[in-house]
Amino acid sequence: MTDEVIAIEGLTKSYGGFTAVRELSLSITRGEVFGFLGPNGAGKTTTIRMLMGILVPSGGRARIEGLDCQRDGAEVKRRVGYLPDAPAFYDYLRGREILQFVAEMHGLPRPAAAERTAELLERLGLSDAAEEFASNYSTGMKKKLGLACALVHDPPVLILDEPTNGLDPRAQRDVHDRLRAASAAGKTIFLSTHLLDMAERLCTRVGIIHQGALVSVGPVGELRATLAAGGSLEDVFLRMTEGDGAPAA
Amino acid sequence: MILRAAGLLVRLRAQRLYNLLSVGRRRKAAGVRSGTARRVGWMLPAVVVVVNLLGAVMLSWTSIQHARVRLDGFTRHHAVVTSLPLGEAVETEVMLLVALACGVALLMSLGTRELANPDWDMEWLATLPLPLSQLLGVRLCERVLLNPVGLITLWPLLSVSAFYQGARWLSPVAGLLVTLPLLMLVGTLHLLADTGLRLRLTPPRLRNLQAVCGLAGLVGLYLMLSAGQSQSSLVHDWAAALPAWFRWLPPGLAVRALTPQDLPVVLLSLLALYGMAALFALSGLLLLRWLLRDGLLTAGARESSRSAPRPAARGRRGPRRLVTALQARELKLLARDHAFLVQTLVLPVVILGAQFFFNMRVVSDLSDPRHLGAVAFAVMAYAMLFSTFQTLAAEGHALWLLFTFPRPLDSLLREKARLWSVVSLVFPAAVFAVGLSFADKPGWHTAAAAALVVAAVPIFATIGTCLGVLGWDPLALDQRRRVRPGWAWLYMLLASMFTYALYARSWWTSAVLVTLTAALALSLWQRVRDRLPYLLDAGASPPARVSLSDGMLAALLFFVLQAALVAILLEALGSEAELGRVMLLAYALAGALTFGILRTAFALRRTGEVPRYSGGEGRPLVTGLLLGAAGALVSAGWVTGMRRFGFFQAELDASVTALHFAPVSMALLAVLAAPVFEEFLFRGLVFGGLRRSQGFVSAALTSSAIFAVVHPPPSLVPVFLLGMLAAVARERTGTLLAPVLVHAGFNAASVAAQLLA
Repeated sequence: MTDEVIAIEGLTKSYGGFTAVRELSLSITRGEVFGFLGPNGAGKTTTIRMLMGILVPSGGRARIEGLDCQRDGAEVKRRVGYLPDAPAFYDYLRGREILQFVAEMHGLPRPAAAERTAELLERLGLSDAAEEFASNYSTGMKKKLGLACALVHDPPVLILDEPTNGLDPRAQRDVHDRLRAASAAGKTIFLSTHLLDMAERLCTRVGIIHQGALVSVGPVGELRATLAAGGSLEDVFLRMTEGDGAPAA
Repeated sequence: MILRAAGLLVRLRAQRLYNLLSVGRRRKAAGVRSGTARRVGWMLPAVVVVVNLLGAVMLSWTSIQHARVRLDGFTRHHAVVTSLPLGEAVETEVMLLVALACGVALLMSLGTRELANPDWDMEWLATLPLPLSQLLGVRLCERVLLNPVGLITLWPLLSVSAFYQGARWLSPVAGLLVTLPLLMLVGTLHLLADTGLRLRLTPPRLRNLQAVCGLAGLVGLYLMLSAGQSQSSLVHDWAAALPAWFRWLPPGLAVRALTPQDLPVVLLSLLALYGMAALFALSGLLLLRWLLRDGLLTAGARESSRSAPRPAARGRRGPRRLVTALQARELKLLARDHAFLVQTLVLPVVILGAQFFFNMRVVSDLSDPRHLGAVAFAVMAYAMLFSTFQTLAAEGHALWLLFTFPRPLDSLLREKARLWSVVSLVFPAAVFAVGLSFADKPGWHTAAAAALVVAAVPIFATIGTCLGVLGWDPLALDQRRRVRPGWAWLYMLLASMFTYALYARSWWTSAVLVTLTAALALSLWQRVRDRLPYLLDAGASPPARVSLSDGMLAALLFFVLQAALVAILLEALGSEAELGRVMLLAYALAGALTFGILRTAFALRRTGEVPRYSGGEGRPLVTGLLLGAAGALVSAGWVTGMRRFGFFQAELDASVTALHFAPVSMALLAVLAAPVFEEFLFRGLVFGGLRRSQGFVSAALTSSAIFAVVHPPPSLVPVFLLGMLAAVARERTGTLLAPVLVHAGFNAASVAAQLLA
């Protein structure tokens, strides 16, 4: 199982009496683009936050490249680039300064960090805004800067929470291309989304989460064939996530 | 329609104010998923309002009374007689105070966070079906009626003034009648400034401006306070120099409208006042309409704030190895964010400077090294409340970034705390520099005070960081209010306890206090590391259990309470012969108080595993008695040895003399009170807390060392041994009964050995 990059075993998170994620088990291998699908509030962000060590699981565990996400947090983060669903940045710091700070925090020496910063800003089309305060950025620009922060240390694994939410069509296409390129370069990508066309176009495999539990997982084509013959991923999604009457806990 | 809109808006704003005051801590109960805040009810807002109003009334009362004594030549007794109207000089002074209050109300309104909020609620209001001019009118209405600072500063002042002029029970109404037009002026200026500034300045600049306004408002408030509290204030000089036409400006008219004896003047003043206010408001609204002719286009839009790219900045190399990337970022923020800068570096200086300015006595006190040290320490500790205390809160929305770095969170916190301790050294250095310029000849006392303050820097940087993290509420609605106030109070309590080290008579007491505080800092740090994984977790938190920090807090509290009580009781009873009884009383009281506070805190927090005197396994009575006999041997042997070999002879003699003075009470203290309280603290909390994360041997050694250090030097060794015996007793039985017996045996033998010889 050397190819297994992300291993989630029985991961559970409850807030008081409410169970946000229930007994989630997943295995993602190197080079995969895994789409984590689910309606709003299904537990996608909670799962991702547990992967990043921001939340402590109530049960089960998650490992990335064999390292426990909770115990070996620092080592895990060396290997992971993370983009939250709504990245926010420090007031009074310019985009370039933030990216360079993140690069330095990942251990790059200052000249290398400056170089890498300039290169990434250029690649993501943020050069013009590099000298602006990041708190003044538009949603899309913040997302791009967040993506730059996730890519700055060239990690083998990317964990992206709604990477194209709030982006215009061109920027969305742009991010898709970048993610495809990253995947081609051997990176493993775990992304959450509720945009089905994105999952359909980009992901090698998807998992659908509903009310905290994984309801189905597999390659897009396979899911479509077995669950909604002749239909789209949307049909699969709608079928799997209907019935809100199920008790939450 | 417009009235209804105004009513709704005012109600909305009042609701918001009420929520701000009444929403307390988030509930810890199960099932709460998001940032649901619990209401603490209407009591708190009501109390806040009443206290503030009463304070303002008292201040106005004394200000006017002092002015009458000073300017009208009344005696203190006559100055309170309200049937004698105010003289013209007093009236002028009140007018100046009213003008100051208006200024403070304006500056404070501009200094609220609202100005810097990137979301401008006007943009939202503009979507309501209301023409712009009406919208502005409604906005003004809201600003006039709900200006809390304005109401609290102006209304009481003018009402009290009316009362002095003989308006009697109509005074509050009369006061309100003239307050409203003044608030209209303030509200118009506020609206103009708020709107105009938003059109011109970017949000970061607005925040800087907000900081400056808040600070200026504070200075104004200080000036008002100084007029009421001291005999010589700048306000008095200014009032004397006011030109005659000042009486015709709105503040002057407002005061003159409150003289019921002279009806024509009242009517004329009121008419002029209301006319001026209406005219001003109207022209303000017209100006606003003109300003907004292109719509609500804020300067916060990206296009206008873009600065020219600075290619030179790239690849620039500075002397950077001195600070880490995180520290460099922090310093950059400090330099750019003026609100932050003002709070961390300027405000402490302003507060201290104001004390100097209004109260010159402090300066002469500074020649005493103890006062000098206390002031230096206080300013530093206060400054840290805004730096180290905010290590997490200052990260704000961008906290997630820290979670993406390949470094444990605690190392990042440590780095920030280190930076702030260095920055905070500026304050004591400055205070000592000032103090030394006043002192005749600095001696080793000054050096000792300086050393204590320097030792306090890392200790309080750690304590501040820890309490800031532990009291941090990630779910609070307002980013900047995320640190719960209770923890800030705890921090200040600890800081004030530490000042005792500066005033203690013996170096041993100071050393013990420094050691205890340092141990407390370390234990808090331990707790923070427990807490960090759960930082952003709404539902989960490390379970509340007795920990070392509880023990350290309790030991410190006990130590300081005891010393303070001895001092108080000696002062009250005043007889040296009573020393034994005083010691007993102070000891028992301090123990009972600490015990009560701790047990209450545990009960409130529903802490598990609180040490108990009863229960336990094995045979606590037998174990206690057996080990107690061993303890008795140790102490009796120690006393005999001291006598035989003659070391610490003076201390031993003093102790024996004290015992002979009051043998019964001293024996009671030693055999009953001390074991019961000390065992709860040292075996229950300190040893128990340590044992949670350590093996038996290291927990016993550490707790015994802390136990020994709070005792006088001659008994260091036997007390350490007692600590070990008691720890064994506690470990074997799990109850406090056994260690209490050990302790009692030890003390009984010691008392007997001293009395019998």
